[in-house]
Amino acid sequence: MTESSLTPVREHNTLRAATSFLLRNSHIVALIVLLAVASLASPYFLGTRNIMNVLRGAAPMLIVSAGMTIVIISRGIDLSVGSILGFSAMLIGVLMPYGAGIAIVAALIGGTILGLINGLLITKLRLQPFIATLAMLIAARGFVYIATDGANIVMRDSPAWFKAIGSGYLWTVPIPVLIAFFVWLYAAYLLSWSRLGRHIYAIGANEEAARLYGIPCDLVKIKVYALAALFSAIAGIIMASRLNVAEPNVGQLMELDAISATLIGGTSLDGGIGGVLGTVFGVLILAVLSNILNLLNISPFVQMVLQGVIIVIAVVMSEMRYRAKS
Amino acid sequence: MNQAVDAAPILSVREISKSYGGLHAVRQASIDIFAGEVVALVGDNGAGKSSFIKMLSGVMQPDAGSILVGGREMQFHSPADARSAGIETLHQSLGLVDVFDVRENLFLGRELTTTKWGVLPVIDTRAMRRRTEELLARIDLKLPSIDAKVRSMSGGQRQSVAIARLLLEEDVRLLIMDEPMAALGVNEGQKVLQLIDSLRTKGLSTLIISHNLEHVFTVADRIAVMKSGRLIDVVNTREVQHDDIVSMIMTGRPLLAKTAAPA
Repeated sequence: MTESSLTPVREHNTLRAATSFLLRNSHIVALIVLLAVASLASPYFLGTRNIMNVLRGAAPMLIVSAGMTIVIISRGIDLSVGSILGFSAMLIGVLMPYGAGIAIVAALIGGTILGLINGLLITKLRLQPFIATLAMLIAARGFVYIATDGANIVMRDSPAWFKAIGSGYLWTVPIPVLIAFFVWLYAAYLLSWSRLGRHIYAIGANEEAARLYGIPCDLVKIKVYALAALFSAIAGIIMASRLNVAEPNVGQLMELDAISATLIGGTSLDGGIGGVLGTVFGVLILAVLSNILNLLNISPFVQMVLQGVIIVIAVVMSEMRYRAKS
Repeated sequence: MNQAVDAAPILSVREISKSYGGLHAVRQASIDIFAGEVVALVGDNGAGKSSFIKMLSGVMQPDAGSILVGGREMQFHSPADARSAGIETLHQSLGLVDVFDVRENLFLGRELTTTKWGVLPVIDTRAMRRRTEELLARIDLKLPSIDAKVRSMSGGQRQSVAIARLLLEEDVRLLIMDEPMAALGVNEGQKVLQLIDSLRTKGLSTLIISHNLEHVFTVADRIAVMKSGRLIDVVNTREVQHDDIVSMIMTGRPLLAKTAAPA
């Protein structure tokens, strides 16, 4: 044992290094493999237009998942992101007659207030995040149905610039993709470069220690849920603009995809571990998967089965990665 | 014991008492602690050791008596008050964040920030790294890597990181530790003892609660014995034997009483 480590066998080390690299970057590898398979399977896949369409479709999910990642790093969960997205889209539809600017501001504020309520329920009433946001998931959707009577609101008088938020382009880049990029950039800054980010990781890993060292845990958590809700509201505005319709069902079940993407990206439900870079890969893996299956005319039901399998594989791999590091 | 007769104590505790309802946890306990000495506080469970140090670290307030730091009488209304007087306390739960490295743990809750591109506030990793290295050099603490997550460290190293965390501010004069070796193996405990010993040479004082008399005799300059809330006596480690301390803990009588004729 000692001898072999004194005279290292090159192949053995290379193999081990390769294994550890693959393990560390499993989500990157998975995406590359998926892209390769996709370009072989369908000649349309690698076209700029198809790629941009995939990205545009994924943009709201990218934004919502960035918020979900921050919440999960703080050792919480937010089941209400889809409903808050729907709530914000509803506000857009209802308030559009008063002007697109007013509608957007109201959607951002309204969504964030729901997030603040989540945060207050969790910190002041000591509800578990699962319970508080489950209640919000149901109640916020209820509000949407009340306000819309369960029917679509078609926005006939919305200005062109509002429609551009969801369907415009800057050169060849869809505007939703640009918005998602800036939201992602902000989330990455927040988590890695700000004091608040350090505190979010600390609370997720060891809330007792964080409290002991004077970190205002309640305030940090309230900010986390408010931020996740703000991101959902931004995604809601994009969805409403893209369709130019406020659908009462928009965003339904999105929380499950956002949690999936976050977990596939290597963020742990145990808190304190992960980041938004991994989540981008998680979202893209799911988006590309769905695109390939569409291009190949395979049923979306198959996609659901595959997504389940991918989550299991991804979480097992990130557990292995975590153990390999410690 | 190297303090001159005229050296003023850094901490003077004068006859402090604390009771909970009818129970007298601490009765008129007094002690002086001088710069650069290690004082061990020993006694049976329930002797009042924890209540005693809680008053010094500001967690509890004494019912009577006074606490003087550098000759000035102080009122500690909170741990923050004690901290600003230069008294830091290591609690039994270390409160380290496992997934953070040494630097991140040391600066948790007091991260340094700088401004990037004139507008963006960002954490100043470089400055915190530099100060971490300075701190570890100052207290002679060697760790495998300051970039290692504390999760991957041994119990003694983790305990050392927790102690180092208390010493980040340079105006610390007294460290209070409640059973710092309790959960550690023999070798790991030795490392913590070495650290305490090296802090003494830097002029820092330590008040340490320990049940392990072997550790106490290794590291302490003086030993304070408590029994039933009373601080019986403070003796020089060099002048006593293991059995003397055991008998003081058991009988609650000061050492001289042993040789003095019974009244």
